[in-house]
Amino acid sequence: MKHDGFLEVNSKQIIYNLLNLKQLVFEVTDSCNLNCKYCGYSDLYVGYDERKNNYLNVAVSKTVIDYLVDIWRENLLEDMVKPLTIGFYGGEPLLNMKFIKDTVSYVETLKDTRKIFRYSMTTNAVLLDKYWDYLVEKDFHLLISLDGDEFSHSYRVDHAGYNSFYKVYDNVCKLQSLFPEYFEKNVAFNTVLHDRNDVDSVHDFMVSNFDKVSSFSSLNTSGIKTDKRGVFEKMYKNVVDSMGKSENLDLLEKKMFIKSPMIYRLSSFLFQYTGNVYYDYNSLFFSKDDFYQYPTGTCTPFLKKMYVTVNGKILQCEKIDHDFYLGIVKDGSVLIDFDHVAERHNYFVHKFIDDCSSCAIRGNCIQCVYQNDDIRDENVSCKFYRDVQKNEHMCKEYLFYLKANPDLYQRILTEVIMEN
Amino acid sequence: MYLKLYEDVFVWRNEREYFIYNSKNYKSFLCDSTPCLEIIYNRIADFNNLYFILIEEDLLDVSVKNWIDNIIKIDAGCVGESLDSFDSPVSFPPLLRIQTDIERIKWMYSQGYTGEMLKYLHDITIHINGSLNGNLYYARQMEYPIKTANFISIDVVDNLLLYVSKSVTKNICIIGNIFSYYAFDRLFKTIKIYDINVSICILFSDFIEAENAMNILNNINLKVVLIIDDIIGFRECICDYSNMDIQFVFPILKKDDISEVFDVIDLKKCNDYLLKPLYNGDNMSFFKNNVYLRKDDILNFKLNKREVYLHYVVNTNFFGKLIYMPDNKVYSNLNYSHIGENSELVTELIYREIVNGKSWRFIRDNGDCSNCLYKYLCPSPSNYELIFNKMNLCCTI
Repeated sequence: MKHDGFLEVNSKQIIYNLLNLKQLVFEVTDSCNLNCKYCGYSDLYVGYDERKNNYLNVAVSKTVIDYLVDIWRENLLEDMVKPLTIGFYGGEPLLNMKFIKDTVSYVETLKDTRKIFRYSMTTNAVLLDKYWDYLVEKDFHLLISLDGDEFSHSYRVDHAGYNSFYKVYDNVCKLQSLFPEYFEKNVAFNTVLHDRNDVDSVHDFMVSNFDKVSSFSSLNTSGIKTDKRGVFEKMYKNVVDSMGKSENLDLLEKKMFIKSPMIYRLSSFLFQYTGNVYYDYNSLFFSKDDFYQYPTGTCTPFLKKMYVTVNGKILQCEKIDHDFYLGIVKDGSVLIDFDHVAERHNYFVHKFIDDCSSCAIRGNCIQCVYQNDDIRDENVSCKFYRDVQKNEHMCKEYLFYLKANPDLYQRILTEVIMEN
Repeated sequence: MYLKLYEDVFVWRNEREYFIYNSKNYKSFLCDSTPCLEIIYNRIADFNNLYFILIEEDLLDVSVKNWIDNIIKIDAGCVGESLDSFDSPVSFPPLLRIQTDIERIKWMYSQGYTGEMLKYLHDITIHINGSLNGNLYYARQMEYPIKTANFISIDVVDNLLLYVSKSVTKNICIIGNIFSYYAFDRLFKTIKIYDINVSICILFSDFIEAENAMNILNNINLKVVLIIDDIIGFRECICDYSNMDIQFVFPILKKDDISEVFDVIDLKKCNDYLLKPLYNGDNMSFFKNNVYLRKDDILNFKLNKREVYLHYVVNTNFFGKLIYMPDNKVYSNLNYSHIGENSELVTELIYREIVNGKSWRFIRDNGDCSNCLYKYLCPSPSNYELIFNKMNLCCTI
């Protein structure tokens, strides 16, 4: 269906996304053994269901998995097998290890699901030593939150206010020592940037201690409580600005490569604008201009993942306000009205159609409408809107950066993979 | 002096010449290699220069000046005396990257992700049975029934249709003498159940011999491809095709056939038709005079950057096609040996062909074409090349 020159989602598209689901993520608990100052559940933010120290029951995961497996079996034939990563999120997922083990055990009993399951987890690593044997056995991919050295990590405190650094550092070192191959292949780090760390020093710390390059993220900028804005502004640090202060910026960026925001953005730019990169052989057969597009860069429901909260709400992503849930798990059933989901999705994204129509990055947008705080309002405008002039200015920034680093062109085009 | 080439410009070279093709306006020029141009081309070929090079005064001989004039003439680039003269400090030399390349496909398959193969299946052709008027030699060149008493079991066809209904493949062509297929009713009932784009390819000679053929075709409500293997019979036949979704295919063996065919097309008011050159073993001169490509023909092809890239990596005639034959074998191209049996999983067949096969990725990188400057402008090798057992149909080489 088309509307004002843009596509609209329908229930068929949503079912298609479920058939090709890439990630199923469970918020296994909203409880956490830490009390990080910048957490989405902290008193800096609104928009998340109140933390009640709930623990997800395996009955919920079984219900959701059964629901999906039925859809897959009905619509896919035996050899239409694709990968699916089951992710465990929190709170701190290691606090609900029973759920994780029971879910994995259940998945292992299933036959002919048309999926090959992998497992992943985001963890603060405080309890890693209790469970690493299991995690290694099941080949879990781990994303460990580590903000750098002791001071850099000091916003990540336990409920008594003590810095979790030494416990985490100790656990990570031991994991690396006990399971070196697993560590190299399966462990990655995420660092939140704030006023107590910087990219340069964290990078050096990670490389020298673990031979790893961390991914960096800034504090979430949406959903900040009005009375906490001052605190937030003091804590907030932009990754690019932090890197800009590095004494050896060029060298740092080359070492970080795709994990450097500038090189990541340059890669995105080259992938989108040069006409040299195609996701697969099929993409060569079609021009982007042959197709209508969806407005904004918002994922269509379940395009990338299905996220199940500890309260049984089903969303399309863990970064979205829980009010925008698409379905629920209730009384042993999954309740999703696909037509209603499509209608609601179209309602919210189509609020921005006027902006999209004239936006310079139409067709290449990666922005999610749910990151606009005023999305519930009648009259909204996209805070990521880019007019032609601003876009040209940004493109020029990439071009001059490339001029200064011409070796990146071939390296990016030959080494980087970006998801379709 | 600085020179910048634009990002849609391809520079192809062999030992003696350079060919510059602008895939934005389809203009091009050819020039001979000279020592100074060789230096310039080496700089252009270095990706670190990003299609932006300095040309020193002592390189500006006549050959280079002419070359620069031609670059400007076909709007393939621009020059300036200083870096400030350019609106952009870099360009993007063509460098094709397929993210899901063969290595990644192999990896995915090794992990068990067989479902990732399906999207590469674009068309399935099913020879459900043979025709007494069939011809394998013709079937190797175009969609044409073969002569055989064998047939494909309806269970196999059922399974294929079920398969296609659940995948992205949406084009199925069923070839043969469908009027004599043993499970005709069941075949069309099954097609109706699934929302699949099916076409039926039949010979006119079979059509005219079958009882009630017109009514049958009107009732099945599918696209029909009718191969006019008897043009006299077709001319004389009193049939009303106006209610049918039908494409008329006229095999052309010699030049005189063409005018006769157009007469018949006018007479019968054929709206949707195709003239298909067909090699019968004796008409090579017809092909050389009417089908072979000359340099002008090749230079008149208007290919944009994406279309050039297609020719870099896939065969646009063959890619994504599987052919099921009544001997229970499956082919990617009837000019090669089979790639498997119809009892095998479709994903396995796709994987085998895309990774190891000769057909889907058969490009002009070998033999006579390998050194040709125009090889990426030329259409992908076709069945004619395979039938003739030569690499190309061109008068350039």
